[in-house]
Amino acid sequence: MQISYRNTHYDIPEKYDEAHSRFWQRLSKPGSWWNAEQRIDIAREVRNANSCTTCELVKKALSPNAVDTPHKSVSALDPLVVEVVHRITRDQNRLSKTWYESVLARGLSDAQYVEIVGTVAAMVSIDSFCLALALPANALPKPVSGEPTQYRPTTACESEAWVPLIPADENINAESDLWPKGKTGYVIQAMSLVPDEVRTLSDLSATHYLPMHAVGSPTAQGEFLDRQQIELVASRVSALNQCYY
Amino acid sequence: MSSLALEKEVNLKVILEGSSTTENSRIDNSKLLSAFAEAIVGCDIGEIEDTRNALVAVMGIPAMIEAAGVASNFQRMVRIAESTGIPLGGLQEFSSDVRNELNLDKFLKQKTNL
Repeated sequence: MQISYRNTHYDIPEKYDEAHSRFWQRLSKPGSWWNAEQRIDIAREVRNANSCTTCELVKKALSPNAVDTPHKSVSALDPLVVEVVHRITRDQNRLSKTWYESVLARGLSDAQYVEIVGTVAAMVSIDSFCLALALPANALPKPVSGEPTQYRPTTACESEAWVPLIPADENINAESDLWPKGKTGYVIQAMSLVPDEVRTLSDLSATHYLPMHAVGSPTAQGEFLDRQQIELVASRVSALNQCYY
Repeated sequence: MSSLALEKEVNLKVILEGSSTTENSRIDNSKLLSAFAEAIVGCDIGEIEDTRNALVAVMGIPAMIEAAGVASNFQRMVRIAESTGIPLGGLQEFSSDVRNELNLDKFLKQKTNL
């Protein structure tokens, strides 16, 4: 399914159509740990979280743990998966290692969790872009049948992060394309337990922000914004989200 | 970092205070860009429209679209960082001055105490 922003109010560069279409195609297919129907349901729950009354209660509560009402669901996903999707979408700055460990204890695998993170993050980004430009949200794709690959990179291991990840200098063989060996940062490695999530991260970042190889270069610019303006917008969004990173 | 490399001093308070700041950020159109970013994070359709139109009037449509792209990119990045619990790593030392000035470590402390 192709996404097109051609007949819209603004002359949006085609790079956005292309990158968003690539993610939509990925979304429509089985991933590493979820089948296509489940992946699209995760996307559906991202949108549903915005009107979830339990999410509102969680956000207003002094502690997110004080609310034990199930999240309102519009999918066939297990309530635990719905909780994970909604919390990452709506209350991400109050996620904790204790909560993550409770999610694993309740039956989700670390790799299933990482694939959810990648899907939620991409959906939030694409939907935010549409919201910003007064575009309707893109219709979700139709699922392609098939089973998840259950691919887990052999070099992924426990780390200082909550989730296992591939060490900076061990992205070998099938993962050699993820970053230049030894030259990366935790934010790139974060989802490397599911390598396709890193590939989507790189693809969307290159379109929306800067190519990964250019981020570290202080002279890298946007086409219409200078670097200070770009970093101002990025930092302001991070600060409003109360992000420690 | 980029500002230092370009030998341009900017006022970092605008990152925390945004469009309401009374400070001079020394970044062109910083209030308009901040206001647009704030509206996007707030998901307020009316505010988004107002700030988008204001930005277009001064900087033009291509710059507004680029700002929308960056803002929506970081709506994603914050969720990746927050939900995987990645450490700062080399970023800690590299950004310590900026982190201190903006008191960013308070967010890390809040998260650790949950």
